[in-house]
Amino acid sequence: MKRNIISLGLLTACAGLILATASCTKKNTPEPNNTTQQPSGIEVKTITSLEANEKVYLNLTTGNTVAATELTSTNWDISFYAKDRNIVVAVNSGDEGNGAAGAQLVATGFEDMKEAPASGYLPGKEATGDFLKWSNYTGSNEPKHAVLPKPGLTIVIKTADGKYSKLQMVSLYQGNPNTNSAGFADLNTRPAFGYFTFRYATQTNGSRNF
Amino acid sequence: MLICSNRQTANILIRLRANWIKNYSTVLIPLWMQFQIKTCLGAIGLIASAFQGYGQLRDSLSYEYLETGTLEEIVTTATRTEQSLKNVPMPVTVIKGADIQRMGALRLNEVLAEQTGIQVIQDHGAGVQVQGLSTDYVLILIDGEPVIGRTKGNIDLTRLVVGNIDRIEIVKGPSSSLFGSEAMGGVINIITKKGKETLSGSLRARYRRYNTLDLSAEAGKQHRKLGWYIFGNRMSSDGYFARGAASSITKTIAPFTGYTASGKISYRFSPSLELAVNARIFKEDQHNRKQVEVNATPHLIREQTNRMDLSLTPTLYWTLAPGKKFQIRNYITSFRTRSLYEYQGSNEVYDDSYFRQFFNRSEIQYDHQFNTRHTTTLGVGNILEGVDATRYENSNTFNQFYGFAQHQWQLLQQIQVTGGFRYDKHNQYADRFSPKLAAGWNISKTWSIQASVAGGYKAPTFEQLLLNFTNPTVGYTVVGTNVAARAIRKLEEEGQIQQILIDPSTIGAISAESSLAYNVGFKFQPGRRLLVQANLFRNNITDMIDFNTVAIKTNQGAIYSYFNRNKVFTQGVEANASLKLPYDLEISAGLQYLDAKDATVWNDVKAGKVYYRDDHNLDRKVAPADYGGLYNRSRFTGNIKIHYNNTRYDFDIALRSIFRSRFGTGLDVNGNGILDDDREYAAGYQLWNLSVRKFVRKLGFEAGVNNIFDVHTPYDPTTPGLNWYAGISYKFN
Repeated sequence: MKRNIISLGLLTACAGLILATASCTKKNTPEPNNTTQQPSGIEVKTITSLEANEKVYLNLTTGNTVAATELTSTNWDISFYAKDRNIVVAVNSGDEGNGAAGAQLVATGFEDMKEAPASGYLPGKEATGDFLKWSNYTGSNEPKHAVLPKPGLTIVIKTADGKYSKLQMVSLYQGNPNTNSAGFADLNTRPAFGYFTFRYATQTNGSRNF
Repeated sequence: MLICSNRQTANILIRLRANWIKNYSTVLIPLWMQFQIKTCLGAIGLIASAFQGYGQLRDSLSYEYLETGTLEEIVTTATRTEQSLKNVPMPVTVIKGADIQRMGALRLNEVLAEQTGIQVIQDHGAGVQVQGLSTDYVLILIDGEPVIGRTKGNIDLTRLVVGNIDRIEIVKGPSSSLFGSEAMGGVINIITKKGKETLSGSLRARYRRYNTLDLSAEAGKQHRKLGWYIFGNRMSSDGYFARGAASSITKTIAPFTGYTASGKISYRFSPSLELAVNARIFKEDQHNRKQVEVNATPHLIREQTNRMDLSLTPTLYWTLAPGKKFQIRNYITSFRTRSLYEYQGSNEVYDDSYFRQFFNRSEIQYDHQFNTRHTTTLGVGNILEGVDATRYENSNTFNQFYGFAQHQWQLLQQIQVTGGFRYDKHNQYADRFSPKLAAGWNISKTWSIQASVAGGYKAPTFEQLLLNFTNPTVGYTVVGTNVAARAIRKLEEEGQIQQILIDPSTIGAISAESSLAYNVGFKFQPGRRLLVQANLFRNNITDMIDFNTVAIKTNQGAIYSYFNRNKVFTQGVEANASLKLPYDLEISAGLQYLDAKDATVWNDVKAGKVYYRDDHNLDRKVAPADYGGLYNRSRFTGNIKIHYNNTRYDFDIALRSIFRSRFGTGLDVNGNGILDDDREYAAGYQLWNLSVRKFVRKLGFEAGVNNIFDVHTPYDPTTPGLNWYAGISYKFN
């Protein structure tokens, strides 16, 4: 009975996704389903349940994904990949792309991240490739065997065109579920793993201030 | 000499004053005398009049007794010399044997659970927290010698029976300056009984719920030169399932049968030379069942665990001259457990593991009383320790030398200063120096104050030094600091290492965990009925040992080893008050306020660097007020006790209550690994225990109910709801 309710919930979540993204098919065009503003006026976009069976390339300034034909360009900043248990986040540089983007993890909450560091950016997937660098595996603690993004950790990105962006991973499960719910604790009813929910904000004027 | 009538005996210390010494308070002659007295007549008055009639004593000596009616107590643990409790400048509590008898306790955990400032916790058996420091940091002694056999740092207190206990002395705060490792949160010294002037003993049988049967017998006599005491106990139980237990196969408390035998024998060769030998053996067999899944098929497993400890302590007491005493002792003990898991039906072995520990301590202590004001204690010793276990590579031997010195100085008539230190040299970790300085001032008959500052330490555990364990299913490896470099080099040669994060050659230099602690207390005793005591404490613990990833294997499994990393502090106040009312009614209450935090986390929380995830998985800052500190610490713990003693009809009633406020369970609901959410707490609880005894000549009848209101909590499986008992005893003398 319980499981029925949860799967119903999942259906609604997917229905919501369909409405938001206009299609629930494989090719993603992530649309922010929530947009707020930082006190500084910078827009914060939240992307919910991005599916990335194939790599999704995102331009953090425009918020658009980039077509496969442009992969060698500097039109994208960050890529997401999630298949089976394999999750990779990378920026456009190093082994991952031809751009000069960089990323680093900063132990500050998203909203408290007021100024991007001047240096310390790493290319490709060096900073963010291993998802256990920015998330915890719960192991035998409740909720068991879950991967939960670390609170108070922000990924700061220097975009391919030299702007600064901050991004926070919110969830890796479909529908950004409440991880304290009974439905999440039960492995049979836990929403699917490998869906990115994150929020980000890009400073378009070139300064490091958010 | 005295009017003797019934069972009630009291150890009486009379403070004797030699007329030729002006400074009376400095000469304390403990005179252990057994008097049988009828309390309704007024014990003190009776003894006093008896002594006053004793002409020779009266001529050369005068005496005094405490006005409170409680006779002055002598303690030995705080300074390792016999010292009046009143003059010990440290927080010391004494639990008398009579109180233990009255509460109907079977094992030590039940006794300690009712003491202020001691929280009994469940972690691989029953352990204690003292001043917020967990059981790993509390030293348990029997007659001054350490009990060994820690499982995950804990000495399971259910191993220790209480029938042979004369009294328990508890010193809170560090005593590493005298006792070395583990004497960091406190020292609990169990002092066992010895033979009395007349042949005396008892037989006692008690029956509790869950088919728990406890039988004990004791006898002893002190002859002119020879003294002996023997004790035996058998306890068995069917165990039980805790209410709401997840499993209906594995009992929460396993059925067991345990035996304890202990004995003492002493012989006085001359007034200045005495040899005493103490021996103890404990053996317990437990059995249980559990269900495991092997290749997705459930199997029933039969579990048999047995554990045993043995000890033998010969001590030679040699008085060179008055005030110049040697104690030469050798304590040899061993602890072993074995757990055998077999498939039910086929009897094939599922798992078989063992742990064996051997400990030998040789020590010489010398007490030199220069004059009435100065006493020096010096000691040297050696500890040889061996450990052999399934998860350790080889059998391992540790060797440790130590020396300690202490000086007690009666600065003024009512001011006592004690200072001392101990130096430990161990072959496995860095040398330790543990100092202590304490002072007490008996301002008036009503007021006294005391303060101390001391260093404590705790040696790295065997796991932290020796473990070499690879989890077969998940693939991670944990290596102790001693074996880390070698184990990682071996894995590297086998091509199993992908990445080294910390140079393994730097791992070996692990230090003991250490603390610096401050205690300040006062005692207020206006007259004989009321006593109020309080002690403020603060423990700063550094170099706490935690594990960290040192390398990643090619199978992506991590290799962990141990490092000195964390800083923790605990602080609070403990207060006790007791009030004697007419009609032999006595009420006492105790309360501890505790604040125990990880100092690193606390600084980060205050600096606004710690976040949690809310129900939408967005991060929010942890407010300082929300940080609850270390897990399994209750902010408030306490007890209330009401004793009624009817000497006319020879019965007594004891009603006791213990409570603790909410505490962190270790659950993390918001992703930050610290205690900061209401859902991460277990609710507090309060237990009420009642016991009644009635005596008819030499026979005693007792009955009681522990946990009258049937409270239960999954965090304390030894609280199985209401638990009644009844018993009978026979005393002879």
